[in-house]
Amino acid sequence: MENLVEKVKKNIASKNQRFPCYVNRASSIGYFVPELNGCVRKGVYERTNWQEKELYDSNVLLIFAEGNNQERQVLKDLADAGVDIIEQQSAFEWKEYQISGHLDGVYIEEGKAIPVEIKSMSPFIFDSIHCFEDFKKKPWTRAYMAQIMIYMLFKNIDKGIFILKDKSTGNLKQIDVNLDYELAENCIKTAEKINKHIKENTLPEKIKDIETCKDCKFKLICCPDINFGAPLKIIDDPDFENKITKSLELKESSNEYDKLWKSITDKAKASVVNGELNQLVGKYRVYGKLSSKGSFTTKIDVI
Amino acid sequence: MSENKEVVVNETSLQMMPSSDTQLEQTVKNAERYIELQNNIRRMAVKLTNQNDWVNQNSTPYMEISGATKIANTFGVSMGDMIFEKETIKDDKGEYIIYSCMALLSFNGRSLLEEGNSSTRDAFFGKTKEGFKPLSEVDLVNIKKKAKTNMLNRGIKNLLGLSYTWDEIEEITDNKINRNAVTGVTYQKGTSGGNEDTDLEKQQRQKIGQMLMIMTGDDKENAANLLEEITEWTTKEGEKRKGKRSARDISTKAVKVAYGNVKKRYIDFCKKNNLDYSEVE
Repeated sequence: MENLVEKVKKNIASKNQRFPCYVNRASSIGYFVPELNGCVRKGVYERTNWQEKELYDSNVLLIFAEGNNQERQVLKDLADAGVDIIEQQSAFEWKEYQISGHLDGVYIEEGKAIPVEIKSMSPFIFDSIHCFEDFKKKPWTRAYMAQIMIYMLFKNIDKGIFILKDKSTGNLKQIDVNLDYELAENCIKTAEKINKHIKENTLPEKIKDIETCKDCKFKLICCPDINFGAPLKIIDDPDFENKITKSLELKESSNEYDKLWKSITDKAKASVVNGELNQLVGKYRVYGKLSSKGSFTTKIDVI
Repeated sequence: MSENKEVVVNETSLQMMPSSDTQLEQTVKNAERYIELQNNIRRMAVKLTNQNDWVNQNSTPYMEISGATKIANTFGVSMGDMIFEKETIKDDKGEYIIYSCMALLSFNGRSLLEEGNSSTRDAFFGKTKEGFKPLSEVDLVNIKKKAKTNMLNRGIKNLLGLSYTWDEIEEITDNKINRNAVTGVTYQKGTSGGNEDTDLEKQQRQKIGQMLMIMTGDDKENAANLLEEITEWTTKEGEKRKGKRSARDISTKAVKVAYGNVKKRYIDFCKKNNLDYSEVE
């Protein structure tokens, strides 16, 4: 049978190309702001080395396309509900900071033009966002924070609106945004830094952040040093290994088991480095992560 | 109560010369412990993968980059000093570009300089049914990316000593990953893509290794040095290019030339040492 889906993916991939970039895009600035774990160097590369940017694969392009479709649908739903969103997809350019962007729309309330930004997302992310601070969790949601700050500054207004859509259920959520002066200033400063580097033909220092660098589309020219994860420590401790073996042989919830398990978890917790434990103890992998609340669950895999 | 100590696995500890029976006993113990640890590392690595991370390549298990990356993430492999080299080569089919990616990979106090290559004649990015794409139609970013992927995939495996037989993998995973369930790839003899060895090239590659080991008295480091010296070459512009340190790293196109040069050196060596070299003649 002919693979029809593959045809769609190939078609999308064939339209995938690089475009020259001569300005700082409002939707991208969040990826460059150091205070949002961003990388200024990436911001410079976007403009100076756009020809060498890795292209997205067809699965990611499908996600982008889906996002655009969802956004159009939300605007239609708002219009059907009698909500008047004006200036839809209006382009703007802020020459002073070499920033450009497209507003999804503007809502007029009490004579004020409030920028409206529509974002669709997975149910997991949708459920985790209840206020503006919650956008800090993921790199792309942090970029949304910067984006709306830029729009609010440009529109000279201290209010903004996010309309979020759950891609799975179609559920909608509104997050009202107040201008965060510090964040807004950091966004503008970042744009200024990028502009200065481009003018002087220089590059900012590399950052060292696996989360940022691993998916960066400029890693082939930046060549960052990367630690793939917390180093696995190889521990030669037959006593500890024996305790683990015994605990696995014992029945859970027996007194002896409880005692043994406590001594194992105490020892494991004491060996945590930078919030993580990653050890190879004989034929066991002992690992776990310290939660933000300070709790630790020891996990053991038999090799 | 035993002492809890972190073990830095490296081979130098095995090279110490024992000067007494006690030391000899300790050295044997260390060696046994080292083998056990290495075995545990190998077992753990396989268990981190699933069957989508493997292909059956000419009846040999080949771990894809997806598997190698999972292992690197869990073991906390680090990568630094990455550089790319670009080389333009001309032959009777026209001009093409080879990207080499080099980086230093480290784990548990041990480091390895690894290299990966990819060319604009890559079977996936550089070819159509009609033949090689014109250079202008090949996305060089993809070629660079593939060179890096090749470097990383090979480096992670070499750094952690991860090469397996199907029997081992099936035993470690209780048959969850097995040769019949994974995707099979069979390369035809004399493929036109220029990326895979023919049987003759495979034999030559193997022979190169054997001749080097004989010439260096089974010293791997010296064998690598010798190969590097023999395969060093100079570009048309007069720039010297480093040779390869492993027969595995010699490109398919260069195997024949490298084999000829190593063989010449080997025959000289045999003559000097009154050894029989009829096998390679």
